[in-house]
Amino acid sequence: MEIQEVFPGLTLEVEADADGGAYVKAHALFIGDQYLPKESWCAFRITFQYPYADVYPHYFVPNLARRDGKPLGTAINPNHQWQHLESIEPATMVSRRSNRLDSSIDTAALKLAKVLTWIRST
Amino acid sequence: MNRTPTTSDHGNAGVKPHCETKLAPKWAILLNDGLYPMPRQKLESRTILDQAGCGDNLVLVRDHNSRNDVIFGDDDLADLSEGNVFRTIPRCEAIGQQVPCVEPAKLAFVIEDAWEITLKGTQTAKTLRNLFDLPEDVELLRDMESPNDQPISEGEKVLYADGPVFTLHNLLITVRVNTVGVSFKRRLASGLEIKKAAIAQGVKIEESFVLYKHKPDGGLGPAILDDEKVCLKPCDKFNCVAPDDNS
Repeated sequence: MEIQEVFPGLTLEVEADADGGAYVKAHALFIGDQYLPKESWCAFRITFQYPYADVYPHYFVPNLARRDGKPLGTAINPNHQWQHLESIEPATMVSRRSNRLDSSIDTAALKLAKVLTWIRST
Repeated sequence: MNRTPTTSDHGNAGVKPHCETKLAPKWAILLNDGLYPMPRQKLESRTILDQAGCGDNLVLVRDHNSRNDVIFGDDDLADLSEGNVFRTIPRCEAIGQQVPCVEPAKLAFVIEDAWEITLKGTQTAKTLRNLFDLPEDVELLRDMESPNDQPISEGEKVLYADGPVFTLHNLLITVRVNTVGVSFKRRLASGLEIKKAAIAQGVKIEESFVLYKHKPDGGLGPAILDDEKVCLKPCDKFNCVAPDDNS
């Protein structure tokens, strides 16, 4: 799997959906010292339209907070749910859309890298 | 003396293989302001004089940062790693007890048959470039007694004692940005410079895109900032993608 190649050593859970897509959950990702907790899982759905459809949004641990007590900010939405085949889990949704998606370059792994880069710098 | 290895060289116990001797750095001396290549690091004073075409009436003197330069007898062994700048004096002037010299020997670094003298035996690629007034887009290589000259990386310490002779190589490093080959004439480039070079060479990206470098294990490194310097290596792989938007 491409995500595993791009993030060697990453623990991944993958559930195939009925349409040819997948629900993916990556564990123990560093999201930044500015957050409590500073590590989180990150879950997202790769739909059957991939790579022509964006991989979006991404879900992180519920009750994510900033260490300095300030609001999480735009695009980080608390009180959401990560819905996948096996269960529904409380989560924090990070909503970053690739409006200029290039299916020949953009991959689910690159998208995860971009989301992590963004959240770490926010 | 250089010679071509033959098959009979193989399996000769006790004979040093020809290829081993070729791993040594090249050496050169400066004698009376003339440059002379030397076959090895340590050799007899008379051999140096003979190779420089000096007659028997002359003796070798190693030039130190002092009035008390070191005079060599004909049979004395000169270790060029201790200094490679020499002059000659008439044999008749070399008579008498020599005053011990405590000052450092002068060191001649040689690049493409040009030389510069210094007292500093530890350099870097940058200080050598400055010493010789070389452009940034040439790569420095230590000249070895083999075709495999050793490239000097930017931050690497360059010790005179490891060999004072260098060559230059015109750099052309080709990396991949979104699978397209992009060439650079220097090894260090910032994230923005990589993107600009890629755009100029036909990669369909914009300067605002996010740049990532693939690690040797296939993994993806962190995003490279616009002002972050990257040391480029041939066949490095980069991905450069449009940033996302909040929604």
